[in-house]
Amino acid sequence: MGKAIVESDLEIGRLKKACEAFCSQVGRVIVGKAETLELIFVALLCEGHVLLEDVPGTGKTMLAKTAARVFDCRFSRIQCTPDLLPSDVIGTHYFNQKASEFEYRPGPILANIVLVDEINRAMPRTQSCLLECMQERQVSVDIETISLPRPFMLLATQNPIELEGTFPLPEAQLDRFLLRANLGYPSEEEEQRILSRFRQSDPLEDMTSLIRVSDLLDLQKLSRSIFIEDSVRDYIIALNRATRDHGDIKLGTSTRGSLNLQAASQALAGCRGRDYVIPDDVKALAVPVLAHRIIARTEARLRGRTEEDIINEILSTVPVPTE
Amino acid sequence: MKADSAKYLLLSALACTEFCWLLTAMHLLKGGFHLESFPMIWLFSCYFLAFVCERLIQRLTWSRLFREILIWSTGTWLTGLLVVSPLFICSDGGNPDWTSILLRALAPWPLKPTPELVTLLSGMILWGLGIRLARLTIDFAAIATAFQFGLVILIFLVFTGNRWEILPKGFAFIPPAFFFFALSGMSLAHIREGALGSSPYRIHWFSMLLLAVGIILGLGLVFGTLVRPDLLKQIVIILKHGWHATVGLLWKFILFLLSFLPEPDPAQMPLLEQPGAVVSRVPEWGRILRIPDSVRSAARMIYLLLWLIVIVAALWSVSSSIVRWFAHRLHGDEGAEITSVTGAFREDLIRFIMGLIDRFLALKRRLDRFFRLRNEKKSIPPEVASVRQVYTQLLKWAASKGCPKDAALTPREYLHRLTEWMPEARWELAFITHQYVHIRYGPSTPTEKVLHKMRQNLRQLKRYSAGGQSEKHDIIQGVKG
Repeated sequence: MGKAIVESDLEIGRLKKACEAFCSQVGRVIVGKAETLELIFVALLCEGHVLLEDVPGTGKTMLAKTAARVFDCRFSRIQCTPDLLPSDVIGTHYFNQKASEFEYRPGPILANIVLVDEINRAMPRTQSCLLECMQERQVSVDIETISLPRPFMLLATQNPIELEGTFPLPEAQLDRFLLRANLGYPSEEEEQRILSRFRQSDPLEDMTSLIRVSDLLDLQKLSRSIFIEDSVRDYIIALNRATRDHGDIKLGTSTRGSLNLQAASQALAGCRGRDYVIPDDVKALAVPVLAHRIIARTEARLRGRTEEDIINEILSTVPVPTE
Repeated sequence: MKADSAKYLLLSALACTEFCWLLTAMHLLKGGFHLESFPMIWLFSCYFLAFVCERLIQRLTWSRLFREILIWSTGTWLTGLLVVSPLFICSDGGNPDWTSILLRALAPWPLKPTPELVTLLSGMILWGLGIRLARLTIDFAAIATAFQFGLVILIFLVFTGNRWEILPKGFAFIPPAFFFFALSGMSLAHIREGALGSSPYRIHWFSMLLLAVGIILGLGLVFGTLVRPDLLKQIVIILKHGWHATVGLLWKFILFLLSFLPEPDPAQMPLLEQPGAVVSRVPEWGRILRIPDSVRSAARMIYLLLWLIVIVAALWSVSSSIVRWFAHRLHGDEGAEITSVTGAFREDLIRFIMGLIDRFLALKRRLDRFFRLRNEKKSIPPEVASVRQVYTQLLKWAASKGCPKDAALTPREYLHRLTEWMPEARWELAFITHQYVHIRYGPSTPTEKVLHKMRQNLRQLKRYSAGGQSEKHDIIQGVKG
């Protein structure tokens, strides 16, 4: 028993160390966004996809690029435009005249970490071709189905302000993102640090990879083995069910929302050095994991209530499993 | 006009509108069931008393469940009192058997409605309506729907009363009073709430309402004057002749078609029964299937109820479509979304049913949770149970000292609150909370040493509290001195 606990502690210590290393390494480029960096690492541990939503110039793309650099894995970037076609994303068959046969030329989606920049600028046809990649982790090209490399993570960015010429993401696609994160503007002190860091050179160029792909796969397995008590699982279910019965919500969260919240809570517990999930983990992740999955009623929106407000209200009403 | 006085006027208008059709309904009940000692005044006082009680109880800071229990138990007692009061008053000084009276009231349910049962049910319904009135948000929508619903009920009651010939003598005053109160209420609400959008009909909305009601009443009057019994008789005779002619033609046509078929062979025809022979029309096995009279009467009642529901639904549908058209014309905006008004009977009914379902599900969830917790508690190791017990003691102690835990707070969030509340005990509080969180949500079990230290910390906390209170007391005494 004692030996098992010691081994478990060591393993969990690995998770915490990896998280700290990731945050400190990315923190060299992205200043003062520790919570968002932790969320990105949580998503990596769950092999989930992240939607970074914020106004231009807050470092969304930079964060995605830096996060990819920390891992020794294949990274690619897709810049979405209205004329981007599904074949530009998933690849296409072309006729090789030398070999006299059709050959598959992989698209940028066949990478471990894919940055899909300004995803809402791609037309719905291209957006929906990403659905299969995100959920099934495979692509279908003509009659062939190709598995994507593991781990596979999609970091998408979108600007919520400039909506002209954009195609809002459908609910089905939003539901496939593990979490939605915001960066927000830096504080005055943080902005000064950013300016001093980027004064002479780009710190991104000096970045070296810290975590190997095989290590990341191990960490993912470890994260999934973190203990979650029945009452905490019930709490997750209660939160999800509350979104379905809330008066201000037109569409509540799906079962995928519960599954993702559970997986993310396990990963966060590991990142914080625990081998068990506590309700605080669930609460900390409820807004990033659930807010983008619900649709608020028009009346609520007109009253100025956002999805985040509604989730926070649910968090303040659903009883936590204690004595 | 002041906002408060307008509000009370609106409330009065709504109450009087409801009172009109309730009065008709009570008279019909009295006449229909031949209730000589029907305590109508006392029943109506239930309606107004429920309103007052609900308004008073709403001011209490108790939980909603307790308030509901209080208001409904008061209503039940009062209506129960109404049921037993006639016998109590008329008794010769002896001790009346209240229980047997109440049992007699409820015993024949639902087949034979007794006067006691009718009084009890009416009292409860009026009590419920009084509570509803107290909870209703009084606005244009509420008055309009009260008018709509009341009109449907009134038409239905008039139809029923006319059929049974039990309409009260002073009934002629009730419909004008109903229209007066409803229309006054609507106009007041309109003045209070201001404009009704940018419709060109907005200015003349009251005239339009009066015109619509006038047309309906006028048409009713014209029909009532023209359609005399002899005219109706003539129409029925014409229809009867037409029906017979049509059926006769059809029958002739069928016979014509049958004439093409071959004649049956007389030898193959079945033998006729001997005249005078007694034939048992109902076979032995058929007697088993004979329906008892009680079932027949129940089925008859269900059949009648179904018809009543169909009639009410039809009347509702017609009146709501009229009101919808009216609202649409009033609004005037093409393509505007017209939503059903709040407080409408349909809304109330749906909300009531949904509320019942929700309460049932909530009760089921609580029972499930209770039984699951009981099973869990049985399977919890004693060390873990001890840790949970220590934390429970901490919660009880903190609540008794004025820092209760909100159900939606996690132990760690509550720890922040506790340390702010009692900073001198932060180490003890943190130790107990962290150990509790570790044991409660984690897979491990505590050692005896940890358990001992938790208990020690809890004792220390209680000492802090006592010391803190005596210190505060000393400071107060010092200030006074």
